[in-house]
Amino acid sequence: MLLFLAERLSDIPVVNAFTYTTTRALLGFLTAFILSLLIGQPVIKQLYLRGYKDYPRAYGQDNVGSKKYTPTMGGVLIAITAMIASLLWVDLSDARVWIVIASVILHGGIGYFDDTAKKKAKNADKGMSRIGKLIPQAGFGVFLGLCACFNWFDIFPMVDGDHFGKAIILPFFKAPFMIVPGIVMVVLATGWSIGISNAVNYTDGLDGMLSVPAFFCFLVLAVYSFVMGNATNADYLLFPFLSGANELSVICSIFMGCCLGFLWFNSFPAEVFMGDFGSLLLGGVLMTIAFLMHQEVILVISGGIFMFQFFSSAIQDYYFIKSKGERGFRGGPFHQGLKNSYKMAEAKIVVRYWIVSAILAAMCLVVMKLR
Amino acid sequence: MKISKKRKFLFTGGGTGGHVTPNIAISEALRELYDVPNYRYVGKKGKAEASVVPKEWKGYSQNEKSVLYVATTSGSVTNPKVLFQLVKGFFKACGILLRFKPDAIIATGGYVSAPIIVAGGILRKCRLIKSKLFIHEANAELGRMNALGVKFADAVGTSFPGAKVPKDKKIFVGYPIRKRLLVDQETNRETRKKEVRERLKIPEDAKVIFAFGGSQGARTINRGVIDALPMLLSDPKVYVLHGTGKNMGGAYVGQDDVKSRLATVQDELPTDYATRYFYTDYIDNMDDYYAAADLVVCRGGAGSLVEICGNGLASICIPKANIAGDHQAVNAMVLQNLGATRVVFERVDITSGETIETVEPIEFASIAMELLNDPATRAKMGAIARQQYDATSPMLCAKVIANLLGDITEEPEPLVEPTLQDSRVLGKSADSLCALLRKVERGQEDPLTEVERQLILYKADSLSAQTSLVTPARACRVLGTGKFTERLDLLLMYAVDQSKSGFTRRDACKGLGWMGVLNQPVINRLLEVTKDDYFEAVTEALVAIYTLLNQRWDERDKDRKKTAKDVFSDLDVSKIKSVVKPLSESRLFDVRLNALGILSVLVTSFDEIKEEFEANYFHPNWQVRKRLVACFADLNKRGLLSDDDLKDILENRFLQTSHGFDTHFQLKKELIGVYQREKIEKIEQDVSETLTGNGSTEDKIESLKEIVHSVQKDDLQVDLVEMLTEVKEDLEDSITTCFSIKALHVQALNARGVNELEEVKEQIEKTLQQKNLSTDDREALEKLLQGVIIFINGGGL
Repeated sequence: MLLFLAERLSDIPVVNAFTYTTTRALLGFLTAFILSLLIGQPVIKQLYLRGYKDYPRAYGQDNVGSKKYTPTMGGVLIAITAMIASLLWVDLSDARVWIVIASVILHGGIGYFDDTAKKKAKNADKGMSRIGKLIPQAGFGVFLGLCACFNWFDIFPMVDGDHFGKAIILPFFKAPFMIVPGIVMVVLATGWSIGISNAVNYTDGLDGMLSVPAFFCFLVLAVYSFVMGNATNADYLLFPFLSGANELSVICSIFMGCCLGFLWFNSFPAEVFMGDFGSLLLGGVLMTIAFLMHQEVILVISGGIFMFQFFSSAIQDYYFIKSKGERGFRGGPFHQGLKNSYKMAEAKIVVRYWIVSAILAAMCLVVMKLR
Repeated sequence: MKISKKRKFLFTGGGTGGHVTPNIAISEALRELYDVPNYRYVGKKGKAEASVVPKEWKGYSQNEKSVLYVATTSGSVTNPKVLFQLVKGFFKACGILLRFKPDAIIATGGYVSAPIIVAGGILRKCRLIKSKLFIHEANAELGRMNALGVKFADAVGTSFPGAKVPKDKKIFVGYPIRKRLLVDQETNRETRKKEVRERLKIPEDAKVIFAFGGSQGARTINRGVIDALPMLLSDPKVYVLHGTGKNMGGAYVGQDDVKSRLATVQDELPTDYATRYFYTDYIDNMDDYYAAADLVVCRGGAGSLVEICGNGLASICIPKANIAGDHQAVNAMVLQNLGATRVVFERVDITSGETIETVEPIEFASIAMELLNDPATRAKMGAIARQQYDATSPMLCAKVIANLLGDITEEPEPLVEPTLQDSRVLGKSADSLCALLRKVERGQEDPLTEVERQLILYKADSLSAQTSLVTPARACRVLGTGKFTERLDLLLMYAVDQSKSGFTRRDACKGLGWMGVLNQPVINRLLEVTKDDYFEAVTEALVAIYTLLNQRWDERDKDRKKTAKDVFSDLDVSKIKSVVKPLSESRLFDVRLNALGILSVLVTSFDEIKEEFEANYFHPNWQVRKRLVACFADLNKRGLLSDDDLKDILENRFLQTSHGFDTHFQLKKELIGVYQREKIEKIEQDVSETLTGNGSTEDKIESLKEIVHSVQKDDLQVDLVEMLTEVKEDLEDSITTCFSIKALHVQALNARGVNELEEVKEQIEKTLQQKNLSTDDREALEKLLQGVIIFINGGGL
């Protein structure tokens, strides 16, 4: 919206600076962050009054150390600030922006129904059914896949004679690794959509454990999208050039602001949890942005924490069945074992997860130049 | 005056006889209400309904094909096979409904009725049919299918008091049974009995037991009857009629099981047993058997019990445990409390090396013989049972349906719903049972009655016999928490049973530790478990040994004045040491710390374990070091480690920091205080009343002790010492000191964090300075002080 204004007023020298991607990214980041701080308390209060509280799982303890009744579904805060900041600072004429917004609405919607079901049952184990979650996620994946195959909205153009939408792009390779048939891309997109948003969901277990790794992932994607959306940079770093992809970097930096703004309240000991609303939403947005640039592998590396959490949980379940009732790890997802068996202090576990995700993000940024 | 309107009714439900009979009973009542009703029955091929319904409806069905079949199956909907069957059944059901266009659908639940309920609900939404839907729910808790059905239903008739059904649809109708099954009490009961007995070639003065386990049979009843047979038939007047149940696709084949079981007891039976023992797989003419019987043996299902009550018979009830809110046990216990039946619980039998649910044959036979030889008691039980039966139930259901259709205008009056007493045991999960048992042990709940104890044992027994991966583990936990020493053998067996899940082996060890029985066989078995492949089982085995050894020491020698040799004279200490020693170097921290703990309990000098201990002063996992601190305190108390050495180790050579850290929310603590305010106010009042009232010193001390106990029981956040100082002025010293010592104990237990412990410590020291303390009190306080100091050194944990 402000970009539209700025373009009209570009005669005034200072105003012109607002049309630069970097300026808008920074301003978007600040807007989202400051807005979070401003509306944080009222939103938390409203959530609590509406009954969105954390209910213990079936065997939850009830003592002065328990986090029982902490307001949850704080993802609303992320959604509101992200939407307002996006409408202010992003170029709304780009179709990618609207796909990301659709992703926010869809995943937020799933999370909303899940959290509401938990609220009604007053039990954290009784959320939405697994199938109820998977169907819309798969549907969105199919939509993304079709976008890629048929170049809907003109967001997957031809690059160097290759069909970018059907390309699989890996780090260290200049050219697309391979071009797959359209149907394969649809299947991959569906799996991608289901996998990532759920993997992120598994990471949401301790105070601040999701928002910071998500922050680093957004940082990485912001840099990548800035490079890919800029002809000179893309050419220099040997990336395919996607006209308009730099708008994604503005969105990424806005979400970085949201994550930090949320962390303000969510840091240990938490005043609010993000709930499934937040975790599915962040997962959905990360997944969508990475897919729009076909930088899935980069997201898998920078979000290695998510993968680790997801697979530690999945392996634990699998091992239990396979070994006829034995545990593989001491807990699944992995942080449960650290917390309950090794009795590591919660804040310590979380900070260690942060350190790992920061290192992973740094690796992703370094990989950029190695092609 | 019958209603002449032509109405079409469609019945569905089945799988077991219990789901079919209410439908038949309702259909009988509807025929009384309507002139020419038109019936259809929808069920599953090969199940009870396929054989029962055509027989029961013979003669008054207008159509040859009164029973139709749909595909359906039980199981999780996410299983593609199940889903396919259900979808297939759904389409067939749609076809049936669209062709027949029933005015009312009557469903008794069970997975068999699912296709019709769902199809009916959807077709009605689409206005393709106008059927009313009436569901009869016999159980306390709705199954998943019925929970779905209730959403579509116009009315739900319940027969279990307190069934969880939405209030606006719920109507309590009782359990409808077939009229034919009732042998008329007043007029021809005796003649009927005579006639039937003649037909079955049973002499008139014989004592007849009739045992059955429902349409599919029950293994417990079948085996129980056979095992008790030698004892029962030793009385030449006893005759046994036995319905073994018909196999309808399940794994259990009653007939075969009875045959093979019978062969095992053949030698002990009297030679003429074949003339006095009859068994059959399926009984059509239940009413004949009821007429002939003096005593009935059955499960606790609602259907069976209502039939027995209706016939006014004495009975022995063997309820099946842990199904849908324990409704069988609840049914049976309610009747037993009234005096209408005798309940015999299933127990597990592990003599064959596997767990099988069974009834104790001697117990069962003796109760049966006692009742058979006592006609007066039987008559009394029968009379009480008869009072419980309400014959209007089928007609009430029929009227509810007619009212839904608008054929009768007056609202039918529901039966009076008896209120069930809330049980602490029945209908509870294994985890809540454990919680209950722990609360009882801590004094936060009233002690268990003998009946409750038996019920818990009964539930745990049945859990332990299940095949799932986690259920037997839960049973082990219950048995251990409740200290059911009569099941020690079961736990010993499960601890090393490699065919059971890892969780079961682990929890069997846990249970052994909690049970508190320490002898060489238990220790040997636990040491055997330390060779297990599963790390949690090893850990728990060591934890159990450590707990048991410490417990023994606390029992025999609280002050640790004796040596380990004296305390564990009956155990092979050197064997334990040799097995545990290598484990103290384990890679797994929890194995290591428990091994160290066990070694330190058993040693006679610190030098023996010095090396092992020193290797762990800087162990990266703080829990190992925490255990070392506890061991140090213990060794110090036993005089094996001097104060100076201890100080030297802890201050110079021992890593005192850790990454374990428990927080607590100060606000929540205040909140708990507010929630407990009423109770605290009452305590305050009680204290001041007791202290200022007249009465002997002993009485006052006694009542103060009670108050302290109640504070402990409710875990109240109350400062008893402060309370005391307010009313202290003119009190006798003995009361004050007794009370304050007790109060300090409570405070020390409730304290959270180092700061609070420090406060307690100060108060103890202040109290110790008083001159007029008795030696006993002084000793008690000093001990408490020691404990508090240890806790403070340990970081308040």
